[in-house]
Amino acid sequence: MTRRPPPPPGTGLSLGPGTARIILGCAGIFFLLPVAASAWFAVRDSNGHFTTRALSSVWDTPGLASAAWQTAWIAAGSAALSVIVLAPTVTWVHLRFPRNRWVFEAISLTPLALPPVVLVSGLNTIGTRLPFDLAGQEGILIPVYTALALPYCYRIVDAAVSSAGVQPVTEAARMLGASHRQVLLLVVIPAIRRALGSAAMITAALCFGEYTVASLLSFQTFPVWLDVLGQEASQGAVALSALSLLLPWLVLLAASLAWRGPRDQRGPARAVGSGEALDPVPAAATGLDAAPGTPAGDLLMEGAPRCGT
Amino acid sequence: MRNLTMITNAAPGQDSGPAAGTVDLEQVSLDYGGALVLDNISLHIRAGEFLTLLGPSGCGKTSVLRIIAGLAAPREGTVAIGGTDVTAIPAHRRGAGMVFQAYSLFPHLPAWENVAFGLRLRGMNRSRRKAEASRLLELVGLQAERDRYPSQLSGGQRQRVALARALAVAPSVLLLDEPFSALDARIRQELRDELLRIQRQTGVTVIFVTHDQDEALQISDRLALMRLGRIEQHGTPAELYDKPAARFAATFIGNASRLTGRVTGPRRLTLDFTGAEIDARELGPQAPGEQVEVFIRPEQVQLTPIPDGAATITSVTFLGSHLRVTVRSPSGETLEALADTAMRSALRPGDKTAVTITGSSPFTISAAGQTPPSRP
Repeated sequence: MTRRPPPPPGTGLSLGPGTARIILGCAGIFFLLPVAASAWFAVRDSNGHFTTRALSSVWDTPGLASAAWQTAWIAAGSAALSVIVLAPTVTWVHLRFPRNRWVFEAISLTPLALPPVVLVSGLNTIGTRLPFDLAGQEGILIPVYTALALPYCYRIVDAAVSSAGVQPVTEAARMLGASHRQVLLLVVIPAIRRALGSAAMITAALCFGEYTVASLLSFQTFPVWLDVLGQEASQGAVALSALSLLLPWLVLLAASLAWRGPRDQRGPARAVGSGEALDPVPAAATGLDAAPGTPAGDLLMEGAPRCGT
Repeated sequence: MRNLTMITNAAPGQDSGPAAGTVDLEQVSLDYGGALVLDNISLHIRAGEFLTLLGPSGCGKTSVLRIIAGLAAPREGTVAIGGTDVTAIPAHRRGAGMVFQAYSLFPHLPAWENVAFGLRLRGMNRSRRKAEASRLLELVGLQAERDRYPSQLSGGQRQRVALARALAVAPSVLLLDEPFSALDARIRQELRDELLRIQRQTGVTVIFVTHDQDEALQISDRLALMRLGRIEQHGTPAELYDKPAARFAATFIGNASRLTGRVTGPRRLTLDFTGAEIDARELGPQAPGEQVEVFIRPEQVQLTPIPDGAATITSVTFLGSHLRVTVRSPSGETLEALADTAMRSALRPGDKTAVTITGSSPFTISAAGQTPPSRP
């Protein structure tokens, strides 16, 4: 097995080690301080002594398992839908409308401008005109969360498809006999897999943090359940909230590290032509800061919107 | 010959006989957003032929290739491969292979899997396609690099992988779009030789696009010279070099100095530069007494340095195997000549020299205009 060659000079962010550490340190403080403060509040009793009573009592609270399970499957569905929708759509836009990509990018931003109340109102209106109770099904949150994550995910996948040089490799695959479906499955998706993974992570993270839409539609997702718990046992709710932030973060960190593993050692996912392409998921293109050398997903996860919370 | 025909990439209904590799373009036109890119192109390419589309940048040669490949659709006209009209057949079913200028290798696959990609699409099992890929990589001299990823290969190696990948599916026609333009001179020459060897070995029809006239002259069975979306002239390299149909062909293929002369009789003229009467080949109807443009190749010029020579040497460039010398007449006309390096000390800028036109006859064009471009 051959090792991945070092990146060509000039392709990395040229920060000195000291500057990079300072930036990383500041980012770390920014992200971890609220979590640490929450954890501190959760493990102190009224006399200021250390206690895990609030946290341990939370596990016995009714509704935790069902809320967590419900959110987990909605998150999985939303992440899958994001990938299924974005990979072919962005590829199609690059191949058919390369000069009008900005139009599609602008359209992808519209969920940011749409207040959740309006979104829910629209969903209810649609629901009442259907022969079945659409708004009453939890699954309705899957397309809603996919749409809410679109502004972030679209840019990640768009940047990756752009860097992967999708047009030349598509034409090469077509000349070898590949149908459009085979081009997508065998060429494009493997080349942008890290970006798709990041998009899935962001979508899942959004699902675990979104409150407003779920609450307005009267679904007991994890954030809604946490809010209810907070009215009765604020210390326990804060402890669980900190955990709910840390646990996915650790999972996504592990996933990011795994993606940096064997496959990427074998060769970078970038178009190989006469010119050198950029990293498939430039951090700047995501709109969310991820320092070079750090797993993209962890900071993306932290930077992901926690709508309504 | 290697067994490259186990898997065929023939288009549905396509002939697998002697005509399998023929390509026919009939009155093909193409425009992009109203701008005419190809204007009524007709061309017949024989099976097993190595045809080069040559012309300046933007003349439409890559567009011709993309239309044959099925990556662009003509506004008018038809494309046939192996005698079958493929105009409406999508690229992946045309039976053509293509090598791109930018290689377009799949970055996530090692060299052998890049080569075997087309075989995978045809359902060949992994062990067989690995063996096939290895044989093809050996053919292009890359057996040792078969497990390397494209990012770990040099430009020349990437282009070899791209060539092997295109050959893997045994295409009836191989299309090459300036495949060597990003490579240095030594690698280019190596790959040209290799391509010719493989083409002779496999017998595949090759359509090669380049704007490099030396490359085109070296490797082609036949050339099609393009300009402004039209084919100006086509023929063997020697025909285009020796018998250009028009001013553009005369100046684009090979070096030629443009002088003036006056017609004295059928295929005879007096050259203003030397005052001597010489034989010439006409490119159009010319009347005695008419002033014409005369195109002279550097190798047709012989220089004899003498103190009372009519011309003055203006520059001497050492090119390794020979010298390129530029001389100027008293009237200000300039002429380029090639000279042996042994004359290096005798040919110095500022010296006088006599000029003689030797070898094959120069060709002339009426000064009033040029002959209309020939149609294929």
